[in-house]
Amino acid sequence: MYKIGVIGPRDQVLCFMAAGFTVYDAQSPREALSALKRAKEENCAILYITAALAREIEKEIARLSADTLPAIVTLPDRDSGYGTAQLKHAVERAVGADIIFKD
Amino acid sequence: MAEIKVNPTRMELKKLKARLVTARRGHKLLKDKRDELMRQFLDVVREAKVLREALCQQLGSVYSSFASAAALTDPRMMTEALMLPGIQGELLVKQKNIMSVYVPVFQYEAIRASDTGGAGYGYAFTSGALDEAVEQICAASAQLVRLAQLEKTATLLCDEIEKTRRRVNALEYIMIPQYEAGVKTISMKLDENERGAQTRLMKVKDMMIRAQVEERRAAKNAEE
Repeated sequence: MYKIGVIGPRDQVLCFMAAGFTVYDAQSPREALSALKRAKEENCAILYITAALAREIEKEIARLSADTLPAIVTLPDRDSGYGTAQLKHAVERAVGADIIFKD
Repeated sequence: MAEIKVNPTRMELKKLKARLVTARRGHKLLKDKRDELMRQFLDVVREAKVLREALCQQLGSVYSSFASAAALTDPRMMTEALMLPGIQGELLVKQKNIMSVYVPVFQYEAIRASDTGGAGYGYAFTSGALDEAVEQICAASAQLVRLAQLEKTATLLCDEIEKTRRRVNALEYIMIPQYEAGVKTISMKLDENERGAQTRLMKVKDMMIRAQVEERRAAKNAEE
């Protein structure tokens, strides 16, 4: 069976343990990267990562998520808007212009 | 644009025409593929956008109640309380083929760990805010999984759209014009050769007739 992992600073992501997700503690981008690799080896199908860390290791995430699995997703949060910005970027790449997120 | 170098022969012309037909058919197919991918991609992105916005609101309150719970509770107690999850999620992964792009389909089933419906920890040593956070996060977990599926699908489709668009453009603006130019060059060259041969024949015939006339005239003069 596949696992669901959450990567981020322990105090921020500990709450996801309650939902049965596996929590990987990562304080720095370097730790996040090793956690990402470890999680991939441990059969994680979905990996959530906090926006602050995801921003630092953007390239590695893009490289690791080229295959069908794992799905590496930025955790939704109220302030950063990083996940939305990534979706917006994907639309721009695919369509050529942003036609969905324009306000 | 660099033209392709071809020998002006009928064989080459035939080959080039066949390649042009294939290129046109490929172009049409890829264009259709691109349009369909785009349609699906936009549907997925629209849904992901709505879901992400909803989850941002939902998880925002989870984070704040969790932070206040963490401030009030001993960290060790906190870890201990969360050690046994309130729900046990079962994740099944399947694959779906969208225009030859394999995207994951996550089936998530949340099963409550305890029959009583309560949290998996005692309420005595933890704050009330934690209960709230745990309850909300359990409620949001299925949506989080759905978001992961949508965003992954969007990323994979986006890559494929980019590739397909490049292929369509390469066929439309490079390959097809090159083949067309090649076909045109060869057929013009062949026509030119044909005309050359015709003129040569006419010229030779002309010369032969002239020679015969000369010959006859010379014979006539000799008789006289």
